[in-house]
Amino acid sequence: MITFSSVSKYFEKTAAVNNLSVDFEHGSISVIIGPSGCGKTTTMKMINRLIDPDNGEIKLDGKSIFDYNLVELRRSIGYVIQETGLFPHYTVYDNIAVVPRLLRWDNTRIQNRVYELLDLVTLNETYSNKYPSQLSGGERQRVGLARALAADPDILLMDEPFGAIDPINRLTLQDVLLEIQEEIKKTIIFVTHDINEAIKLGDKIAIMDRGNLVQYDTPDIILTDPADEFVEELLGHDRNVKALSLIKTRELLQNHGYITITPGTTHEEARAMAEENPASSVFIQDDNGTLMGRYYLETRKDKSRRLKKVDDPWVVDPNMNLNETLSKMLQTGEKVIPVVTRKRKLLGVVTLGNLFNAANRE
Amino acid sequence: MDVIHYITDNTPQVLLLFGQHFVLFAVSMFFAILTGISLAIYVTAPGNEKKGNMVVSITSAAQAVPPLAIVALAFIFVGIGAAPSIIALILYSIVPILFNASSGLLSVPPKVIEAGRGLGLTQNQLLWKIRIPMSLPVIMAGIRSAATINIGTATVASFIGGGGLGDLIFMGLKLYRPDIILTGAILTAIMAIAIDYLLQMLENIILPGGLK
Repeated sequence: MITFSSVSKYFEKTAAVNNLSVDFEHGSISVIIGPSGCGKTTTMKMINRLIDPDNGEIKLDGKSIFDYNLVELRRSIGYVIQETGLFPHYTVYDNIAVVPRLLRWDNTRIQNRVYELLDLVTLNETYSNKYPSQLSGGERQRVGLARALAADPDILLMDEPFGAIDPINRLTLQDVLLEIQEEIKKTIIFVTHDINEAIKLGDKIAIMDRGNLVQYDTPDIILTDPADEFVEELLGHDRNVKALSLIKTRELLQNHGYITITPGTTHEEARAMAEENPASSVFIQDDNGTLMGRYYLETRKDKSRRLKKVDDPWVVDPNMNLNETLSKMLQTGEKVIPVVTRKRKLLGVVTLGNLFNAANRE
Repeated sequence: MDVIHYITDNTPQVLLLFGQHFVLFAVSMFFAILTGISLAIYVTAPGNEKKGNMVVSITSAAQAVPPLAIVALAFIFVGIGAAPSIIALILYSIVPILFNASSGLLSVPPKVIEAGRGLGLTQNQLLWKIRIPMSLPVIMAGIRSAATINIGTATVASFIGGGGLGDLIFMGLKLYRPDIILTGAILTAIMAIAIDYLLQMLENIILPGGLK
Protein backbone atom coordinates (compact mmCIF):
# COMPACT_ATOMS: atom_id res chain seq x y z
CA MET A 1 0.00 0.00 0.00
CA ILE A 2 1.17 3.52 -0.80
CA THR A 3 0.29 6.01 1.91
CA PHE A 4 0.41 9.80 1.54
CA SER A 5 0.11 11.71 4.84
CA SER A 6 -0.41 15.49 4.59
CA VAL A 7 1.89 15.76 1.57
CA SER A 8 2.45 19.18 0.00
CA LYS A 9 4.63 20.32 -2.86
CA TYR A 10 5.11 23.95 -3.86
CA PHE A 11 6.45 25.31 -7.11
CA GLU A 12 7.39 28.96 -6.56
CA LYS A 13 4.90 29.40 -3.72
CA THR A 14 1.90 27.91 -5.55
CA ALA A 15 0.86 24.55 -4.17
CA ALA A 16 1.07 21.90 -6.88
CA VAL A 17 -0.08 19.40 -4.28
CA ASN A 18 -1.81 20.67 -1.17
CA ASN A 19 -1.95 18.67 2.06
CA LEU A 20 -2.72 15.40 0.33
CA SER A 21 -3.58 12.35 2.41
CA VAL A 22 -4.56 9.23 0.54
CA ASP A 23 -4.00 5.45 0.53
CA PHE A 24 -3.43 3.70 -2.78
CA GLU A 25 -4.40 0.12 -2.24
CA HIS A 26 -2.26 -2.94 -2.82
CA GLY A 27 -2.90 -4.98 -5.96
CA SER A 28 -5.40 -2.60 -7.52
CA ILE A 29 -5.45 0.15 -10.12
CA SER A 30 -5.77 3.64 -8.66
CA VAL A 31 -6.38 6.30 -11.28
CA ILE A 32 -5.48 9.93 -10.60
CA ILE A 33 -7.40 12.30 -12.83
CA GLY A 34 -7.93 16.02 -13.19
CA PRO A 35 -7.27 18.94 -15.55
CA SER A 36 -3.70 19.95 -16.38
CA GLY A 37 -2.00 21.62 -13.46
CA CYS A 38 -4.14 19.79 -10.90
CA GLY A 39 -1.11 18.05 -9.39
CA LYS A 40 -1.77 14.52 -10.62
CA THR A 41 1.62 14.02 -12.26
CA THR A 42 3.44 15.69 -9.37
CA THR A 43 1.68 13.31 -6.99
CA MET A 44 2.82 10.32 -9.02
CA LYS A 45 6.40 11.50 -9.39
CA MET A 46 6.73 11.92 -5.64
CA ILE A 47 6.31 8.15 -5.27
CA ASN A 48 9.54 7.30 -7.12
CA ARG A 49 11.15 10.53 -5.93
CA LEU A 50 11.50 12.18 -9.33
CA ILE A 51 10.05 15.03 -7.28
CA ASP A 52 10.54 15.34 -3.51
CA PRO A 53 7.68 16.67 -1.35
CA ASP A 54 8.14 19.83 0.74
CA ASN A 55 5.95 18.59 3.59
CA GLY A 56 4.38 15.37 4.75
CA GLU A 57 5.29 11.75 4.45
CA ILE A 58 4.98 9.03 1.81
CA LYS A 59 5.25 5.40 2.85
CA LEU A 60 5.41 2.15 0.92
CA ASP A 61 3.96 -0.63 3.08
CA GLY A 62 4.70 1.41 6.18
CA LYS A 63 8.30 2.34 5.32
CA SER A 64 9.11 5.93 4.36
CA ILE A 65 10.37 6.33 0.81
CA PHE A 66 13.30 8.32 2.24
CA ASP A 67 14.49 5.23 4.08
CA TYR A 68 15.12 3.47 0.77
CA ASN A 69 18.27 3.91 -1.32
CA LEU A 70 17.11 6.24 -4.12
CA VAL A 71 18.31 4.12 -7.03
CA GLU A 72 17.07 0.88 -5.47
CA LEU A 73 13.68 2.48 -4.79
CA ARG A 74 13.33 3.44 -8.45
CA ARG A 75 14.45 0.04 -9.69
CA SER A 76 11.76 -1.56 -7.55
CA ILE A 77 9.02 0.63 -9.05
CA GLY A 78 7.97 0.25 -12.68
CA TYR A 79 7.63 3.51 -14.57
CA VAL A 80 5.78 4.04 -17.84
CA ILE A 81 5.45 7.40 -19.58
CA GLN A 82 4.22 8.52 -22.98
CA GLU A 83 5.92 6.78 -25.88
CA THR A 84 8.91 9.13 -26.08
CA GLY A 85 10.39 7.44 -23.02
CA LEU A 86 11.87 4.49 -24.91
CA PHE A 87 15.61 4.68 -25.61
CA PRO A 88 15.87 5.19 -29.40
CA HIS A 89 19.38 3.75 -29.65
CA TYR A 90 18.40 0.49 -27.93
CA THR A 91 16.56 -2.40 -29.56
CA VAL A 92 13.27 -3.56 -28.11
CA TYR A 93 15.21 -6.32 -26.35
CA ASP A 94 17.76 -3.93 -24.84
CA ASN A 95 15.06 -1.50 -23.76
CA ILE A 96 13.22 -4.21 -21.85
CA ALA A 97 16.51 -5.55 -20.45
CA VAL A 98 17.62 -2.20 -18.95
CA VAL A 99 16.64 -2.82 -15.33
CA PRO A 100 17.51 -6.57 -15.25
CA ARG A 101 20.99 -5.63 -16.49
CA LEU A 102 21.32 -2.93 -13.84
CA LEU A 103 20.40 -5.62 -11.34
CA ARG A 104 23.10 -7.87 -12.89
CA TRP A 105 20.87 -10.79 -13.82
CA ASP A 106 22.58 -13.46 -15.92
CA ASN A 107 21.92 -13.48 -19.67
CA THR A 108 19.72 -16.57 -19.78
CA ARG A 109 17.47 -15.18 -17.10
CA ILE A 110 17.26 -11.84 -18.90
CA GLN A 111 16.42 -13.50 -22.21
CA ASN A 112 13.70 -15.65 -20.69
CA ARG A 113 12.23 -12.63 -18.95
CA VAL A 114 12.27 -10.46 -22.09
CA TYR A 115 10.53 -13.12 -24.17
CA GLU A 116 8.01 -13.77 -21.41
CA LEU A 117 7.20 -10.05 -21.22
CA LEU A 118 6.92 -9.62 -25.00
CA ASP A 119 4.40 -12.42 -24.88
CA LEU A 120 2.56 -10.85 -21.95
CA VAL A 121 2.09 -7.53 -23.77
CA THR A 122 0.84 -9.39 -26.88
CA LEU A 123 4.01 -8.89 -28.93
CA ASN A 124 6.50 -11.69 -29.66
CA GLU A 125 10.20 -12.58 -30.01
CA THR A 126 10.37 -11.27 -33.58
CA TYR A 127 10.24 -7.75 -32.15
CA SER A 128 13.49 -8.23 -30.19
CA ASN A 129 15.84 -6.67 -32.71
CA LYS A 130 13.64 -3.82 -33.86
CA TYR A 131 14.32 -0.24 -32.84
CA PRO A 132 11.61 2.00 -31.36
CA SER A 133 11.49 4.06 -34.57
CA GLN A 134 10.38 0.93 -36.45
CA LEU A 135 7.34 0.39 -34.21
CA SER A 136 3.83 1.84 -34.22
CA GLY A 137 2.73 4.03 -31.31
CA GLY A 138 0.75 1.18 -29.78
CA GLU A 139 3.66 -1.25 -30.08
CA ARG A 140 6.04 1.27 -28.51
CA GLN A 141 3.67 1.65 -25.58
CA ARG A 142 3.57 -2.12 -25.09
CA VAL A 143 7.35 -2.22 -25.06
CA GLY A 144 7.30 0.62 -22.50
CA LEU A 145 4.97 -1.44 -20.33
CA ALA A 146 7.16 -4.54 -20.72
CA ARG A 147 10.24 -2.51 -19.77
CA ALA A 148 8.52 -1.25 -16.62
CA LEU A 149 7.53 -4.79 -15.63
CA ALA A 150 10.97 -6.29 -16.35
CA ALA A 151 12.20 -6.71 -12.79
CA ASP A 152 8.74 -7.67 -11.54
CA PRO A 153 8.18 -4.56 -9.40
CA ASP A 154 5.28 -4.51 -6.94
CA ILE A 155 4.35 -0.99 -7.93
CA LEU A 156 3.75 0.36 -11.42
CA LEU A 157 3.51 4.09 -12.10
CA MET A 158 1.88 5.00 -15.41
CA ASP A 159 1.92 8.65 -16.47
CA GLU A 160 -0.68 9.20 -19.22
CA PRO A 161 0.75 6.16 -20.98
CA PHE A 162 -1.89 6.00 -23.71
CA GLY A 163 -2.22 9.77 -24.17
CA ALA A 164 -0.49 9.88 -27.54
CA ILE A 165 -2.25 6.83 -28.99
CA ASP A 166 -5.21 6.99 -31.39
CA PRO A 167 -8.62 6.21 -29.81
CA ILE A 168 -9.03 2.72 -31.27
CA ASN A 169 -5.60 1.49 -30.25
CA ARG A 170 -6.07 3.16 -26.87
CA LEU A 171 -9.10 0.96 -26.19
CA THR A 172 -7.10 -2.12 -27.17
CA LEU A 173 -4.21 -1.15 -24.92
CA GLN A 174 -6.59 -0.56 -22.03
CA ASP A 175 -7.96 -4.08 -22.52
CA VAL A 176 -4.42 -5.45 -22.64
CA LEU A 177 -3.57 -3.65 -19.40
CA LEU A 178 -6.69 -5.00 -17.67
CA GLU A 179 -5.94 -8.52 -18.86
CA ILE A 180 -2.34 -8.27 -17.66
CA GLN A 181 -3.46 -6.87 -14.33
CA GLU A 182 -5.78 -9.87 -13.86
CA GLU A 183 -2.64 -11.97 -14.03
CA ILE A 184 -0.03 -9.88 -12.21
CA LYS A 185 -2.07 -7.98 -9.60
CA LYS A 186 0.32 -5.04 -9.27
CA THR A 187 -0.29 -1.88 -7.32
CA ILE A 188 -0.82 0.46 -10.26
CA ILE A 189 -1.01 4.25 -10.08
CA PHE A 190 -2.36 5.49 -13.40
CA VAL A 191 -2.46 9.19 -14.29
CA THR A 192 -4.82 10.31 -17.04
CA HIS A 193 -7.00 13.24 -18.09
CA ASP A 194 -9.48 10.98 -19.90
CA ILE A 195 -12.50 10.29 -17.68
CA ASN A 196 -13.61 7.32 -19.79
CA GLU A 197 -10.20 5.75 -19.35
CA ALA A 198 -10.37 6.40 -15.60
CA ILE A 199 -13.77 4.74 -15.29
CA LYS A 200 -12.75 1.77 -17.38
CA LEU A 201 -9.43 1.08 -15.66
CA GLY A 202 -9.77 2.36 -12.13
CA ASP A 203 -10.61 0.19 -9.15
CA LYS A 204 -10.57 3.55 -7.42
CA ILE A 205 -10.38 7.05 -8.88
CA ALA A 206 -8.73 10.03 -7.19
CA ILE A 207 -10.03 13.28 -8.65
CA MET A 208 -7.75 16.28 -8.16
CA ASP A 209 -8.27 19.97 -8.76
CA ARG A 210 -5.64 22.68 -8.18
CA GLY A 211 -3.57 20.52 -5.87
CA ASN A 212 -6.47 19.26 -3.79
CA LEU A 213 -8.01 15.82 -3.65
CA VAL A 214 -11.68 16.40 -4.44
CA GLN A 215 -12.98 12.84 -4.33
CA TYR A 216 -11.47 9.41 -3.93
CA ASP A 217 -13.88 6.55 -4.50
CA THR A 218 -14.78 3.63 -6.70
CA PRO A 219 -15.99 4.57 -10.20
CA ASP A 220 -19.44 3.38 -9.23
CA ILE A 221 -19.74 5.79 -6.31
CA ILE A 222 -18.17 8.66 -8.24
CA LEU A 223 -20.64 8.23 -11.10
CA THR A 224 -23.68 7.91 -8.88
CA ASP A 225 -22.66 10.30 -6.13
CA PRO A 226 -20.24 12.97 -7.37
CA ALA A 227 -18.79 15.00 -4.47
CA ASP A 228 -19.34 18.43 -5.99
CA GLU A 229 -19.99 20.39 -9.17
CA PHE A 230 -16.39 20.05 -10.29
CA VAL A 231 -16.67 16.26 -10.32
CA GLU A 232 -20.04 16.45 -12.06
CA GLU A 233 -18.53 18.64 -14.74
CA LEU A 234 -15.58 16.29 -15.15
CA LEU A 235 -17.96 13.37 -15.60
CA GLY A 236 -19.96 15.23 -18.22
CA HIS A 237 -23.71 15.17 -18.85
CA ASP A 238 -23.69 11.58 -19.96
CA ARG A 239 -22.70 9.99 -16.69
CA ASN A 240 -25.66 7.61 -16.79
CA VAL A 241 -24.31 6.29 -20.05
CA LYS A 242 -20.76 6.21 -18.65
CA ALA A 243 -22.02 4.17 -15.69
CA LEU A 244 -22.95 1.46 -18.19
CA SER A 245 -19.26 0.83 -18.79
CA LEU A 246 -18.97 -0.52 -15.24
CA ILE A 247 -21.30 -3.42 -15.99
CA LYS A 248 -20.39 -6.43 -18.10
CA THR A 249 -22.87 -7.54 -20.73
CA ARG A 250 -23.11 -10.99 -19.16
CA GLU A 251 -24.61 -9.44 -16.01
CA LEU A 252 -27.59 -8.20 -18.01
CA LEU A 253 -28.11 -11.34 -20.02
CA GLN A 254 -31.72 -12.54 -20.34
CA ASN A 255 -32.78 -16.01 -21.40
CA HIS A 256 -36.30 -15.25 -22.52
CA GLY A 257 -37.91 -13.12 -25.18
CA TYR A 258 -36.57 -15.23 -28.03
CA ILE A 259 -37.19 -18.60 -29.61
CA THR A 260 -34.68 -20.94 -31.12
CA ILE A 261 -35.17 -23.30 -34.05
CA THR A 262 -32.91 -25.97 -35.50
CA PRO A 263 -30.98 -25.49 -38.77
CA GLY A 264 -33.23 -28.07 -40.47
CA THR A 265 -36.42 -26.02 -40.04
CA THR A 266 -38.02 -24.97 -43.35
CA HIS A 267 -38.75 -21.39 -44.30
CA GLU A 268 -42.50 -21.94 -43.96
CA GLU A 269 -42.22 -23.46 -40.50
CA ALA A 270 -39.97 -20.61 -39.44
CA ARG A 271 -42.44 -18.07 -40.77
CA ALA A 272 -45.30 -19.71 -38.90
CA MET A 273 -43.32 -19.65 -35.64
CA ALA A 274 -42.27 -16.06 -36.14
CA GLU A 275 -45.81 -14.92 -36.81
CA GLU A 276 -47.04 -16.81 -33.81
CA ASN A 277 -44.56 -15.00 -31.52
CA PRO A 278 -44.31 -11.50 -33.04
CA ALA A 279 -42.61 -10.08 -29.94
CA SER A 280 -39.76 -12.61 -30.01
CA SER A 281 -36.53 -12.82 -31.97
CA VAL A 282 -35.98 -16.06 -33.84
CA PHE A 283 -32.50 -17.62 -33.74
CA ILE A 284 -31.20 -20.67 -35.52
CA GLN A 285 -29.22 -22.82 -33.12
CA ASP A 286 -27.59 -26.19 -33.75
CA ASP A 287 -27.38 -29.14 -31.32
CA ASN A 288 -24.19 -27.77 -29.73
CA GLY A 289 -25.88 -24.49 -28.89
CA THR A 290 -24.02 -22.60 -31.63
CA LEU A 291 -25.80 -19.62 -33.18
CA MET A 292 -26.19 -20.38 -36.89
CA GLY A 293 -28.37 -17.48 -38.02
CA ARG A 294 -31.36 -15.28 -37.32
CA TYR A 295 -34.77 -14.65 -38.87
CA TYR A 296 -36.25 -11.19 -39.08
CA LEU A 297 -39.95 -10.69 -39.69
CA GLU A 298 -40.11 -7.41 -41.59
CA THR A 299 -43.26 -5.39 -42.09
CA ARG A 300 -43.38 -3.60 -45.45
CA LYS A 301 -45.15 -0.36 -46.29
CA ASP A 302 -48.20 -2.20 -47.57
CA LYS A 303 -48.44 -3.93 -44.17
CA SER A 304 -47.51 -7.30 -45.69
CA ARG A 305 -44.83 -9.24 -43.85
CA ARG A 306 -41.68 -10.77 -45.16
CA LEU A 307 -39.34 -13.23 -43.44
CA LYS A 308 -35.63 -12.53 -43.96
CA LYS A 309 -32.87 -14.94 -43.01
CA VAL A 310 -29.42 -13.66 -41.97
CA ASP A 311 -26.63 -16.25 -41.66
CA ASP A 312 -24.21 -13.99 -39.84
CA PRO A 313 -26.26 -11.81 -37.47
CA TRP A 314 -24.82 -9.03 -35.25
CA VAL A 315 -23.70 -10.37 -31.89
CA VAL A 316 -21.95 -9.11 -28.75
CA ASP A 317 -19.44 -10.73 -26.44
CA PRO A 318 -20.45 -11.36 -22.79
CA ASN A 319 -17.24 -9.62 -21.61
CA MET A 320 -18.00 -6.37 -23.41
CA ASN A 321 -19.26 -3.67 -21.08
CA LEU A 322 -22.78 -2.35 -21.50
CA ASN A 323 -21.51 0.90 -22.97
CA GLU A 324 -19.85 -0.99 -25.81
CA THR A 325 -22.93 -3.17 -26.27
CA LEU A 326 -25.14 -0.09 -26.41
CA SER A 327 -22.90 1.48 -29.08
CA LYS A 328 -23.09 -1.69 -31.12
CA MET A 329 -26.87 -1.78 -30.87
CA LEU A 330 -27.15 1.87 -31.87
CA GLN A 331 -24.80 1.28 -34.79
CA THR A 332 -26.58 -1.77 -36.11
CA GLY A 333 -30.14 -0.75 -35.24
CA GLU A 334 -30.81 -3.97 -33.32
CA LYS A 335 -33.32 -3.67 -30.47
CA VAL A 336 -32.45 -7.18 -29.31
CA ILE A 337 -28.94 -8.51 -29.77
CA PRO A 338 -27.72 -12.08 -29.13
CA VAL A 339 -24.83 -12.61 -26.72
CA VAL A 340 -22.45 -15.36 -27.85
CA THR A 341 -19.15 -16.77 -26.63
CA ARG A 342 -16.03 -16.66 -28.77
CA LYS A 343 -17.07 -20.01 -30.21
CA ARG A 344 -20.47 -18.50 -31.03
CA LYS A 345 -22.40 -20.43 -28.41
CA LEU A 346 -25.66 -18.56 -27.76
CA LEU A 347 -25.91 -17.45 -24.12
CA GLY A 348 -28.97 -15.21 -24.29
CA VAL A 349 -29.90 -11.72 -25.42
CA VAL A 350 -29.64 -8.12 -24.29
CA THR A 351 -32.47 -5.75 -25.14
CA LEU A 352 -32.60 -1.97 -25.35
CA GLY A 353 -35.16 -2.13 -22.53
CA ASN A 354 -32.63 -3.89 -20.28
CA LEU A 355 -30.04 -1.23 -21.07
CA PHE A 356 -32.49 1.57 -20.35
CA ASN A 357 -33.26 0.08 -16.95
CA ALA A 358 -29.57 -0.41 -16.18
CA ALA A 359 -28.78 3.20 -17.01
CA ASN A 360 -31.59 4.46 -14.78
CA ARG A 361 -31.35 2.00 -11.93
CA GLU A 362 -30.26 4.64 -9.43
CA MET B 1 52.59 17.34 -63.70
CA ASP B 2 55.00 19.77 -62.10
CA VAL B 3 53.61 18.71 -58.75
CA ILE B 4 54.42 15.04 -59.39
CA HIS B 5 57.91 16.02 -60.58
CA TYR B 6 58.49 18.01 -57.45
CA ILE B 7 57.36 15.12 -55.24
CA THR B 8 59.48 12.51 -57.04
CA ASP B 9 62.52 14.79 -56.99
CA ASN B 10 62.16 15.68 -53.30
CA THR B 11 60.53 12.57 -51.82
CA PRO B 12 62.38 12.52 -48.44
CA GLN B 13 61.63 16.19 -47.76
CA VAL B 14 57.98 15.89 -48.78
CA LEU B 15 57.50 12.75 -46.68
CA LEU B 16 59.10 14.42 -43.67
CA LEU B 17 56.82 17.45 -43.94
CA PHE B 18 53.77 15.21 -44.52
CA GLY B 19 54.71 13.29 -41.37
CA GLN B 20 55.22 16.48 -39.37
CA HIS B 21 51.87 17.73 -40.55
CA PHE B 22 50.18 14.50 -39.47
CA VAL B 23 51.83 14.68 -36.04
CA LEU B 24 50.65 18.28 -35.59
CA PHE B 25 47.16 17.15 -36.50
CA ALA B 26 47.09 13.93 -34.47
CA VAL B 27 48.54 15.35 -31.25
CA SER B 28 46.41 18.48 -31.29
CA MET B 29 43.22 16.56 -32.17
CA PHE B 30 43.83 14.06 -29.38
CA PHE B 31 43.94 16.81 -26.78
CA ALA B 32 41.16 18.80 -28.43
CA ILE B 33 38.80 15.81 -28.35
CA LEU B 34 39.76 14.97 -24.77
CA THR B 35 39.29 18.48 -23.40
CA GLY B 36 36.39 19.41 -25.70
CA ILE B 37 34.27 16.43 -24.74
CA SER B 38 35.17 16.57 -21.04
CA LEU B 39 34.25 20.25 -20.98
CA ALA B 40 31.01 19.53 -22.80
CA ILE B 41 30.11 16.80 -20.29
CA TYR B 42 30.88 19.17 -17.42
CA VAL B 43 28.90 22.14 -18.70
CA THR B 44 25.87 20.05 -19.64
CA ALA B 45 25.70 18.07 -16.39
CA PRO B 46 22.28 18.26 -14.68
CA GLY B 47 22.06 21.59 -12.87
CA ASN B 48 24.69 23.13 -15.13
CA GLU B 49 22.34 23.73 -18.07
CA LYS B 50 22.83 27.51 -17.90
CA LYS B 51 26.58 27.10 -18.33
CA GLY B 52 25.90 24.66 -21.15
CA ASN B 53 23.74 27.12 -23.05
CA MET B 54 26.34 29.84 -22.50
CA VAL B 55 29.11 27.62 -23.85
CA VAL B 56 27.00 26.82 -26.91
CA SER B 57 26.58 30.55 -27.63
CA ILE B 58 30.25 31.39 -27.02
CA THR B 59 31.65 28.52 -29.09
CA SER B 60 29.20 29.24 -31.87
CA ALA B 61 30.59 32.81 -32.07
CA ALA B 62 34.21 31.70 -31.54
CA GLN B 63 34.11 29.68 -34.76
CA ALA B 64 34.33 32.99 -36.61
CA VAL B 65 37.79 33.87 -35.17
CA PRO B 66 40.39 33.61 -37.98
CA PRO B 67 42.99 30.83 -37.53
CA LEU B 68 45.87 33.23 -38.21
CA ALA B 69 44.89 35.27 -35.14
CA ILE B 70 45.08 32.20 -32.87
CA VAL B 71 48.45 31.20 -34.32
CA ALA B 72 49.73 34.76 -33.90
CA LEU B 73 48.57 34.85 -30.27
CA ALA B 74 50.22 31.48 -29.58
CA PHE B 75 53.45 32.90 -31.03
CA ILE B 76 53.27 35.95 -28.74
CA PHE B 77 52.54 34.00 -25.57
CA VAL B 78 54.44 30.72 -26.15
CA GLY B 79 57.06 31.46 -28.79
CA ILE B 80 58.02 29.54 -31.89
CA GLY B 81 58.22 25.85 -32.74
CA ALA B 82 55.97 22.81 -32.72
CA ALA B 83 54.61 23.30 -29.17
CA PRO B 84 52.95 26.70 -29.74
CA SER B 85 51.61 25.41 -33.06
CA ILE B 86 50.02 22.44 -31.33
CA ILE B 87 48.58 24.67 -28.59
CA ALA B 88 47.08 26.96 -31.25
CA LEU B 89 45.62 23.97 -33.10
CA ILE B 90 44.15 22.52 -29.88
CA LEU B 91 42.45 25.83 -29.10
CA TYR B 92 41.15 26.14 -32.61
CA SER B 93 39.85 22.53 -32.83
CA ILE B 94 38.20 22.52 -29.42
CA VAL B 95 35.62 25.02 -30.61
CA PRO B 96 33.57 22.86 -33.03
CA ILE B 97 34.00 19.79 -30.82
CA LEU B 98 32.79 21.59 -27.71
CA PHE B 99 29.99 23.30 -29.62
CA ASN B 100 28.63 20.08 -31.14
CA ALA B 101 29.10 17.93 -28.04
CA SER B 102 27.38 20.51 -25.80
CA SER B 103 24.44 21.08 -28.11
CA GLY B 104 24.16 17.32 -28.70
CA LEU B 105 24.12 16.51 -24.99
CA LEU B 106 21.63 19.30 -24.31
CA SER B 107 19.27 18.12 -27.04
CA VAL B 108 18.56 14.65 -25.60
CA PRO B 109 14.77 14.74 -25.01
CA PRO B 110 13.95 15.36 -21.31
CA LYS B 111 11.33 12.60 -21.46
CA VAL B 112 14.00 10.03 -22.26
CA ILE B 113 16.17 11.22 -19.40
CA GLU B 114 13.19 11.20 -17.06
CA ALA B 115 12.39 7.64 -18.10
CA GLY B 116 16.01 6.68 -17.39
CA ARG B 117 15.93 8.28 -13.95
CA GLY B 118 12.58 6.66 -13.22
CA LEU B 119 13.99 3.25 -14.11
CA GLY B 120 16.79 3.78 -11.59
CA LEU B 121 19.81 4.72 -13.70
CA THR B 122 22.46 6.68 -11.80
CA GLN B 123 23.76 9.99 -13.20
CA ASN B 124 26.83 8.19 -14.56
CA GLN B 125 24.78 5.48 -16.21
CA LEU B 126 22.50 8.11 -17.72
CA LEU B 127 25.56 9.84 -19.16
CA TRP B 128 27.33 6.80 -20.61
CA LYS B 129 24.36 4.63 -21.56
CA ILE B 130 21.86 7.23 -22.71
CA ARG B 131 23.08 10.79 -23.19
CA ILE B 132 26.43 10.18 -24.93
CA PRO B 133 25.24 7.38 -27.24
CA MET B 134 22.19 9.43 -28.21
CA SER B 135 24.27 12.52 -29.03
CA LEU B 136 27.03 10.53 -30.75
CA PRO B 137 25.98 11.51 -34.30
CA VAL B 138 26.27 15.21 -33.39
CA ILE B 139 29.51 14.68 -31.43
CA MET B 140 31.07 12.80 -34.36
CA ALA B 141 30.01 15.52 -36.80
CA GLY B 142 31.84 18.03 -34.58
CA ILE B 143 34.97 15.89 -34.49
CA ARG B 144 34.94 15.50 -38.26
CA SER B 145 34.57 19.17 -38.98
CA ALA B 146 37.27 19.92 -36.36
CA ALA B 147 39.61 17.44 -38.07
CA THR B 148 39.15 19.04 -41.49
CA ILE B 149 39.65 22.54 -40.10
CA ASN B 150 42.64 21.33 -38.07
CA ILE B 151 44.48 19.91 -41.07
CA GLY B 152 43.87 23.07 -43.08
CA THR B 153 44.87 25.37 -40.24
CA ALA B 154 48.03 23.35 -39.53
CA THR B 155 49.55 24.87 -42.70
CA VAL B 156 49.54 28.24 -40.94
CA ALA B 157 51.65 26.69 -38.14
CA SER B 158 54.60 26.83 -40.47
CA PHE B 159 54.44 30.60 -39.98
CA ILE B 160 55.67 30.19 -36.39
CA GLY B 161 58.07 27.35 -37.09
CA GLY B 162 55.71 24.45 -36.51
CA GLY B 163 56.75 22.65 -39.68
CA GLY B 164 54.40 20.54 -41.78
CA LEU B 165 53.10 20.97 -45.32
CA GLY B 166 52.72 24.71 -44.72
CA ASP B 167 56.50 24.92 -45.14
CA LEU B 168 56.07 23.94 -48.81
CA ILE B 169 53.46 26.63 -49.34
CA PHE B 170 55.59 29.37 -47.73
CA MET B 171 58.68 28.17 -49.55
CA GLY B 172 56.84 28.23 -52.88
CA LEU B 173 55.66 31.72 -52.08
CA LYS B 174 59.20 32.96 -51.41
CA LEU B 175 60.66 31.23 -54.49
CA TYR B 176 57.69 32.19 -56.67
CA ARG B 177 57.21 28.49 -57.54
CA PRO B 178 53.52 27.56 -58.03
CA ASP B 179 54.41 23.86 -58.29
CA ILE B 180 55.73 23.84 -54.72
CA ILE B 181 52.71 25.77 -53.43
CA LEU B 182 50.38 23.33 -55.19
CA THR B 183 52.28 20.34 -53.80
CA GLY B 184 51.70 21.62 -50.26
CA ALA B 185 48.06 22.48 -50.89
CA ILE B 186 47.16 19.24 -52.67
CA LEU B 187 48.84 16.99 -50.09
CA THR B 188 47.05 18.91 -47.32
CA ALA B 189 43.73 18.41 -49.07
CA ILE B 190 44.43 14.70 -49.60
CA MET B 191 45.21 14.27 -45.91
CA ALA B 192 41.99 16.09 -44.94
CA ILE B 193 39.87 13.98 -47.27
CA ALA B 194 41.49 10.72 -46.13
CA ILE B 195 41.06 11.54 -42.44
CA ASP B 196 37.44 12.55 -42.97
CA TYR B 197 36.81 9.28 -44.79
CA LEU B 198 38.38 7.26 -41.99
CA LEU B 199 36.34 9.12 -39.37
CA GLN B 200 33.21 8.45 -41.36
CA MET B 201 34.02 4.73 -41.36
CA LEU B 202 34.66 4.89 -37.62
CA GLU B 203 31.34 6.65 -37.14
CA ASN B 204 29.49 3.91 -39.02
CA ILE B 205 31.07 1.33 -36.74
CA ILE B 206 30.48 3.00 -33.39
CA LEU B 207 27.11 4.63 -34.04
CA PRO B 208 24.39 2.67 -32.22
CA GLY B 209 21.68 1.16 -34.42
CA GLY B 210 18.38 3.00 -34.31
CA LEU B 211 20.20 6.32 -34.74
CA LYS B 212 21.60 5.61 -38.20
